[in-house]
Amino acid sequence: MLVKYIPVLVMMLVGIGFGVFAVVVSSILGPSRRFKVKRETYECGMPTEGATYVQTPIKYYVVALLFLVFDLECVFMYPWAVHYRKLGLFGFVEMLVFMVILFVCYVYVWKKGALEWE
Amino acid sequence: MEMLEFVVPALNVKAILPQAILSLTALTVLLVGVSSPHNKKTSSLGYLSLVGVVVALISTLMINGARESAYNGMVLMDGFSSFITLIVCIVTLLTILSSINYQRFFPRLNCGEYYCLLLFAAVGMSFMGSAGNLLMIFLALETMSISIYVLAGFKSDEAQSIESAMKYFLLGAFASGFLLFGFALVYGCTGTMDLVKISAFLTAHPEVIHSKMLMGGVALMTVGFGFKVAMFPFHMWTPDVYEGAPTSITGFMATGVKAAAFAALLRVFFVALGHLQADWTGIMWLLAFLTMTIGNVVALSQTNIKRMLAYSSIAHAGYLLVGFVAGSKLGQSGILFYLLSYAFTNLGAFGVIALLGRDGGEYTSLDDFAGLGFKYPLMGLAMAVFMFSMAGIPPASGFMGKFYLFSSAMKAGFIWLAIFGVINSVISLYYYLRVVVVMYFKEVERDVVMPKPSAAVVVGLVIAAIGVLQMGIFPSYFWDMARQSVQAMLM
Amino acid sequence: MELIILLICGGLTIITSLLVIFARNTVHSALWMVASFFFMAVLYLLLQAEFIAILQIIVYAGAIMMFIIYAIMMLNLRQEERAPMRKTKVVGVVALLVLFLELLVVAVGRGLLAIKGPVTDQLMAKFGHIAVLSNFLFSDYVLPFELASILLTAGVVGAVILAKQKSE
Repeated sequence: MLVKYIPVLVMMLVGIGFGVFAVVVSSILGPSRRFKVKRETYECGMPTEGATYVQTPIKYYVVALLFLVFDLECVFMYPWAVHYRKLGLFGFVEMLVFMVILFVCYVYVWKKGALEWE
Repeated sequence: MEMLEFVVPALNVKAILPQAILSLTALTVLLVGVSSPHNKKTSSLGYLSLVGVVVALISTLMINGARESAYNGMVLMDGFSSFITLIVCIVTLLTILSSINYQRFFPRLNCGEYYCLLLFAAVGMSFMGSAGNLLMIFLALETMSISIYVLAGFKSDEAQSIESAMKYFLLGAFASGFLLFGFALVYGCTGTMDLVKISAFLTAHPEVIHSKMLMGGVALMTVGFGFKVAMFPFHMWTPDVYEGAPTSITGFMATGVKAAAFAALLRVFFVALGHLQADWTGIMWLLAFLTMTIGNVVALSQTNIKRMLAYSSIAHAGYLLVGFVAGSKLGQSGILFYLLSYAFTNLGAFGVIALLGRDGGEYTSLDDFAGLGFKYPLMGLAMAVFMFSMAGIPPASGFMGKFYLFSSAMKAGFIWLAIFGVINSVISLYYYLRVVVVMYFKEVERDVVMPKPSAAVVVGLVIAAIGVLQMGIFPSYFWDMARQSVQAMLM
Repeated sequence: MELIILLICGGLTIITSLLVIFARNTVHSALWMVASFFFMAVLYLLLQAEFIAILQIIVYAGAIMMFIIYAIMMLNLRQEERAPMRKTKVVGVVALLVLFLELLVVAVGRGLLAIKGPVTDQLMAKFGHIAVLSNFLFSDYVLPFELASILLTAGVVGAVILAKQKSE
């Protein structure tokens, strides 16, 4: 049953293997010299300031949420597109209703200025 | 070789007409609200949504009497769903009328989003009453809940409102998880999510009825629904959430959510799982008893009227569960009647409390009501009527509601439960009447809060008061309607 | 073979989920969550729900994960605090264990009589999972599908209004 997924598994293993390989090899082959400055956090050569955790503005969160919602919209469009010929006009109209409702949502978000980044 | 034939489903517009109207109104209000400039906003958005609700109400009355299942069993159009949609429309109507006044003092609430979410919640609620499929119930429940989580936190400049939304959201999401898990177990057991088909399957395979899996599913569903109706072990959130939410929303939560959750509870337990009735009755008996007792006893010591009404709403959930335990058609009709009566009563009471809200401050302590009775005789009278109705004193509708619920329990043989119900009503007299006493007889220590009612809220309160008295004095019309609704329930 | 994969991936899902809860660094728990989503996707594959498995990775491990990371960044968690073990917590853990055992009892060992749905292996093999899913989504489940758009809209409106009100 799962035989057809073996290529996927192989690809994942190759991907993971490459990452592990690169790290392991460079740590074996590369010279290792440790001193204080080198172990500090690297930030374009500037001395770092403050804590690592900074509070990000809520703007990011709103954008992430909008992405998520319209991502889900695409999820619904995918099966519709795959089966489009069979679904015919009915499927088209139903999808249209779905899209129109979410389009209203989109217009709202736009007008509200949630997409602006002042 | 099997073929994959796409069968175009029959589109039954009639079956979803009220919900479609509500959704369209919601989207329109959203767009209008966001396109109009911020400073020019009046209460026009409120009136716009009001029109939508009234049209939905009329359409509900028009399709009342139809009896068919639509969209492959997703929607059951019968008397029961019409009755629930009716309650939802009335609840939304009264809430909007109260909000139009309330928003004058809380400008944050004066936006398209507020009414849009209110209407979306109404869509979810009425779908919960008409859903004939577990999937549909879940989606409707989420539509309702998500809108209400946000509405509870709408006064986002107040920590209490945020706390209320946060608490409701976290616990509500958790409860939804339980509900979904319960649905999954029932689906796993029966292979279908259609309520009618579940029942047919259990008739054909009686050995499944007592399987652990189905029992587990039923238990988890009880948790999920119990949370929404504020049933005893899952009632903890109620006071905090009700207190923190904007007053106009609190009434909506107490009545609308309760009606919708009870509708779904009745449908799932009596249509799909009717075979297990003997199994759940015992536990529900205990829960009904504990729910009303705890609600009433804790309400005795409350000094904040919103908190008091929150505990009272727990107690009312207990009374409603008495009808659920009775399990007969009579008990179910009693629940419907009581839900409508409670909608009028509670929204009326919260309408009065919302009237006291003033310029960003709410006056919800019991002492704030001192002296109001004589200073504003009509408002005082209305509040007194609502309190009498909650306590169950004739001629208010609460009396008839309790009468139908308790007598159905007596007829079904649950005499002790009915007696406990009556004892509880007596206990509750104390705190309901205390409000009336404070209003009329307590000395005024400081300036009386000046309510500035607008026409809308007066209309709302009058409708609520008429509803309460009408249902109390001439109950037979509503009682017949409730009975026919239950009789016409699709099984 | 399938049973072995099931046991391994199921076990790993549970372990990584526990790590999500117990990791002291919130970012670490987010990463464990990605791992948990991946193993769950394999479980969906075992149930022959290909499309759901793909969604699990695209939507959950992708979009929702990003969402959670932003939430963590927004929360301003400077130090990892260790809450003291309270009595209520102990009661909660015990109740949870009891519930867990109950569910184990519920789920273990039953031949299922349940009604068979219209979706069969042959159908899926011939037309593909997604076409079959789409076929039922647009016929039997068309109303929940439309209701989902209302639900999504309500979610967006709610999130935008809460976030925007705050920033104003």
